Amino acid sequence: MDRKRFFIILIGTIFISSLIFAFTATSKEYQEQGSDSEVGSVRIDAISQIKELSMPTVRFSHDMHTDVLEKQGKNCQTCHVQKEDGLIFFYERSGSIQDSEALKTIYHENCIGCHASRHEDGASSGPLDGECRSCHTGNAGKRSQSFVMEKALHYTHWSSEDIAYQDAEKNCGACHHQYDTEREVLYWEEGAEQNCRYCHKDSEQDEIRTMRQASHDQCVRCHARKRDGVKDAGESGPIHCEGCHSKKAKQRIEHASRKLKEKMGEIPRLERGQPKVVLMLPADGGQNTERENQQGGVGPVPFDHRSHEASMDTCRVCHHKSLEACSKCHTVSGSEKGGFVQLSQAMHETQSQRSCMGCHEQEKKAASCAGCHDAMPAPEQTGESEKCRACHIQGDQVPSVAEAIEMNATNRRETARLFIEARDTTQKLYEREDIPETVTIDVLADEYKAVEMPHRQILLAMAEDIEESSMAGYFHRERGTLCQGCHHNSPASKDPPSCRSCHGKPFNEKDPLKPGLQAAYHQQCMNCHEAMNVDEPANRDCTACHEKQGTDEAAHQ
Amino acid sequence: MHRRKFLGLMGAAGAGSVAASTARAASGKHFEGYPDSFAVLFDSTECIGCRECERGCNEVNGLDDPERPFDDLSVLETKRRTTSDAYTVVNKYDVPEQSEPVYRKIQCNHCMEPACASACFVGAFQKTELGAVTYDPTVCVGCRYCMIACPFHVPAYEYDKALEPRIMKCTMCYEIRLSKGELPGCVEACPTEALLLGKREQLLQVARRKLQAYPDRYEQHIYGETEMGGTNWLYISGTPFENLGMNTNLGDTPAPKFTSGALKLVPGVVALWPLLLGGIYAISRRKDKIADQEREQSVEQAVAETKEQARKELEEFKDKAERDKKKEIEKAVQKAKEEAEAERKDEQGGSDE
Amino acid sequence: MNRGALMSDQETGKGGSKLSLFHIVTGVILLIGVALTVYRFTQGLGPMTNLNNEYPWGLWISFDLLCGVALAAGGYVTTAACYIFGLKKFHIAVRPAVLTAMLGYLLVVLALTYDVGRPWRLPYPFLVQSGTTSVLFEVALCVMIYLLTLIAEYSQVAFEWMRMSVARSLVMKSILFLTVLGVILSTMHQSSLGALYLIAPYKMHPLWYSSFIPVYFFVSSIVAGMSMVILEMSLARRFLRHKMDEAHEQGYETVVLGFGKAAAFVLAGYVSLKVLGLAVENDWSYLLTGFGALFLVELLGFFALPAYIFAIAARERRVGIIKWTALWSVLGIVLNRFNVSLVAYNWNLKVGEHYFPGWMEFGITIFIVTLGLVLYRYCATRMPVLHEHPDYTDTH
Repeated sequence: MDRKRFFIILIGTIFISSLIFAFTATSKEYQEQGSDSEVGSVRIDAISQIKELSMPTVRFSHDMHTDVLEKQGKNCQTCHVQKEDGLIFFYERSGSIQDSEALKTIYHENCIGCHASRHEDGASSGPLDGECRSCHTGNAGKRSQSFVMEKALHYTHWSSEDIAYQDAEKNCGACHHQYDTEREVLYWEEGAEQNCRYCHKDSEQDEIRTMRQASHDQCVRCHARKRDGVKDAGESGPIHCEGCHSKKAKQRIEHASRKLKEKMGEIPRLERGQPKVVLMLPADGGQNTERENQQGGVGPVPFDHRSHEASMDTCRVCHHKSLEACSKCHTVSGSEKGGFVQLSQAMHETQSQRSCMGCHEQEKKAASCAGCHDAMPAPEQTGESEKCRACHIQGDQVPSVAEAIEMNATNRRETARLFIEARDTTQKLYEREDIPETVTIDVLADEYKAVEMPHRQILLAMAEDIEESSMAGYFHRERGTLCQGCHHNSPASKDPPSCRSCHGKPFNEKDPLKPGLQAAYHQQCMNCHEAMNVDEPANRDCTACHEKQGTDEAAHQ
Repeated sequence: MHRRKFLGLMGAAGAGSVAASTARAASGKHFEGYPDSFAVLFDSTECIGCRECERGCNEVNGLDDPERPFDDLSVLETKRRTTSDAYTVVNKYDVPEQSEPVYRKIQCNHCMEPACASACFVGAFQKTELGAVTYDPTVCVGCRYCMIACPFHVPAYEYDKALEPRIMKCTMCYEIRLSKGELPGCVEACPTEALLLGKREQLLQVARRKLQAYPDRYEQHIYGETEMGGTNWLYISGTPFENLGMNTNLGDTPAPKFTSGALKLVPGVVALWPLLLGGIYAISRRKDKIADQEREQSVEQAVAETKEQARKELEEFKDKAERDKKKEIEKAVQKAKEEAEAERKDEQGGSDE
Repeated sequence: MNRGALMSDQETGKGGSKLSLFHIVTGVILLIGVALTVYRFTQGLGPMTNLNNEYPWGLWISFDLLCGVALAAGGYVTTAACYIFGLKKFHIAVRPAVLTAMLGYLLVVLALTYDVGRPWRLPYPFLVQSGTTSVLFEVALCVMIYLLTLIAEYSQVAFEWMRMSVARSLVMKSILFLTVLGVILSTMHQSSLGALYLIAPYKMHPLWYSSFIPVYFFVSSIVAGMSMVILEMSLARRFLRHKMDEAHEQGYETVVLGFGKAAAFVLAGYVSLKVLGLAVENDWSYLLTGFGALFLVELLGFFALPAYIFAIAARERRVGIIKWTALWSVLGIVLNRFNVSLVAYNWNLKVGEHYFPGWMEFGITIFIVTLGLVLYRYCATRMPVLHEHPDYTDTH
């Protein structure tokens, strides 16, 4: 009987405790530990490419290990295999290995082996055998900021006297190369330098190393080499992950960029023999003379290549596949090389980052522009002559596409230059006296008093903001264009219509997209303020724009 | 089974079916909406969180004064829901990618096929032709099943009233405004026209045009177009709807469809169960009867056997008795013969001397 | 006369102190209940309960209504077993079960008058305006008719007590009709109580929400009924033995073993249905969460385990074990109803917003249960429930 009773009590206890556990577990929100965004932590998950992981990924603090090894006087070769002219940035192997067991052995034996030997020497070490979860934490964190070789940084490199390539005048060849498939050797051809990512992709393709491998080999190896040879180590580049990939590094580069601009006015141009002006045509200078190609296009586009360079950080923004003319791949009807993206799409696609119009749309999202431009609906290609002629030269007096194709390179450049210089990129606005200083908005004054709007002040402040932009200056064709930001859906004029001439009663069934007058005022002003990051007057601070009518509003308290 | 019993069962089945035929009202057909019904489009990108809509609603509907006044914007720091004093509330939501918070107005969504109307067992809710879902406090029993049913957590109850507690929810100002062709209190009060009143079909078109014209500004979805079978309060937003605290997992099935399946089975049960149970009863009775019969039979048989046995014994006994008697007679006759013989011999012997 | 001889001296004769303790305790509870009732109808639900706008249904619905109706299912189960399935051995359990069921449903209606906002309007769905699309309408209709059915079934006992033979024989003739009606109505409203939650799939945890909820509720009500019959027969045997006649005393073991065996089967069927439901909805992954643990505890510990123990105990003819397992099974039903209505409902609300009943809600619930006990005892000690009326011995 005693055993039976004990058994019953045991079962009972188990049930009650599982009930309690179940009830408490339902109320607790199990929070996942937040992931660490430490830069310099490498996620080791090579095996995940081969098969499903049975343990969580390993977060490896690369920078910490670099420091420790540096203190010991050891260098990168401690872990990275050295090949003829470079280090292989895999761990303890010279290429990618597809055998998961072999990979596991490499990592375990080398990592833990080193830890073990340090531990024997009495030094602090990483996790040892059996402490699996100390490495396999799974908290691999965010991948670090991807790195962009900004122009200022590029300038630092190509203007540096410490970097030389054999006996050449320019040192581009120190990094830029091409591959001769027949002789299987890398070589540098001056004037044919490409962006690294044209060949080095995110994953290994056709036995070309990944961008990660190639860039680290190129950059870090060189920095490590230079460090040994130069007295002031700060002058060679970083060898730690956080030296390039952290937010701090980014800030450092931006700071250097600004300083450079201040000192030199602008960052010197990357000289690769690229044109300053281009007359953009459907054909690429005679090589594509199909009749189809000749008949495509509204008209040639004189393109100021140099000033566009100045506003980009890297050529790859527009030259996304190669440093050639767009029309080489993007033909009028579309070709396989261009992914069947036609030339017109490539130039005009408003959602794209790299088409002309797409990039212009992006620019309009800047705070200085967004106040007016955010309210404008997405553009559609309507074929209005004036809109096309903003970029295309078209008409009886100007060369047509066919004629331009027949020109030689020099003439084409000259034509382009002429038209570009003729463009008026200055700010256009009416005279100060013609702009009303204050506008009294009192049509709806009821609960609140009339609004005394500082009309001129607002307009002039906006104009000053975009003074420097030649793009704004050019595309704001008329003096009244800026006014159309608020006085919309009407022609540019010195006396544009007031809001109340179109906006009236709300909820008009026939025109449901047009707000009533009160909402028109509020939406226009408030949305513009929000888009341009204007904090005062705040949206809900009603009395900032109009005082309250009457004195006693106690009814609402 | 007796005829009477059978008829009785059929009667029960029939009566039940008639009563349950009203469950037809819960059929699974989809309601496309009354034509020309009104709806409200809420544009979250225009909402500045000023709470004027709350004030408008409160004044137009004659609700009690709130604890904190409507221009106290600090109430937005906590997430609120509709209560018995507030048909509508505005909530503030912080969106991670944006520096500015976004706002949403919460109120009854006036579903095309309201869960509350389906759930109410006195029909206190009605989907009017104007699109508003109204509440009739003169029949409400206070069971609060509508609060369970509403997927948007909208109806609130006057728990503090002892004798006349009501469900409190937005009515799109049906009685006081909409039926007179006027704007609901909140729509009228909004300074930025974030709330647009119009015919539902038209508002859907307006919303679609806005989404098309400003693809970067809006999430490409109109909330309420199909959610829960469609609602008469539509939402467009500049940020994913989850960031506005809205449930995006609601699916397109209208609420009544969830229970119409169960209700459809009622007439089936009422019709089939009598047959089933009657059948079982009949079978069990039959079994009993057969058991009884068999018992009787075996008793009879036993009795018969016993009788037969007795008869046979009697016969044998009789036979034996007969035989015995015969023997006796023979014996007696023999004896008499012998005696007579002896006597005769005796007489003869005497004469010879 | 005769009646008097059966009742009073035995009542006052046996253990005087034990009875008055019962009277004192129940009396206090009933008085508190009356006070709370006054409070409820003068102050409203707000000050009295922890109900809020997220939890409109609380303890009174979960326990008094859902559990009450489920546990009162003994009425239809026992009458069906006896009259439809022809299992005469359960005959002695019929009257106590019907009494329990009738009192159970009466108290459910009483509890509703507390919970509902305007209880005087409870007849409205039938008299004023009907919302026939509502599952609740069907529940209300079926419960109302079923209550009348139960009262009709019990009236036989009452008529015997009042010696109204004509009325009694009328009722006796319609016993089969009433039983069939009772089963039909019970099927509908037991399953519909579960179907109430069908309308809120987005508020219910997937492990408890299923299109099969009506089936689960119905099958578990059968279990609940059987277990309750076992329990109340055991309790009656313990406390009201002096009221039982020989048939009831002898038949007790048969009833308990019979229902125990039946309950084993039904519980096993219920568990299989639940597993089937999991498979159909593909909810397996939820089992690995906290809610999953609770679900498994409920299903395995309170449904599967009793099934097994019932089966073994029935085979070994261990009446004592069946009694305890019946109690365990009843707790399982209660747990299930609570899980559906309070745990799975609004499971995704933040922790601080969950509901727990206030003391006054507990007070009313205890008051109602006590009322039930008192009424049961009143009826069982005066009317021919636990024994046959000496003048009416032709009940079959």
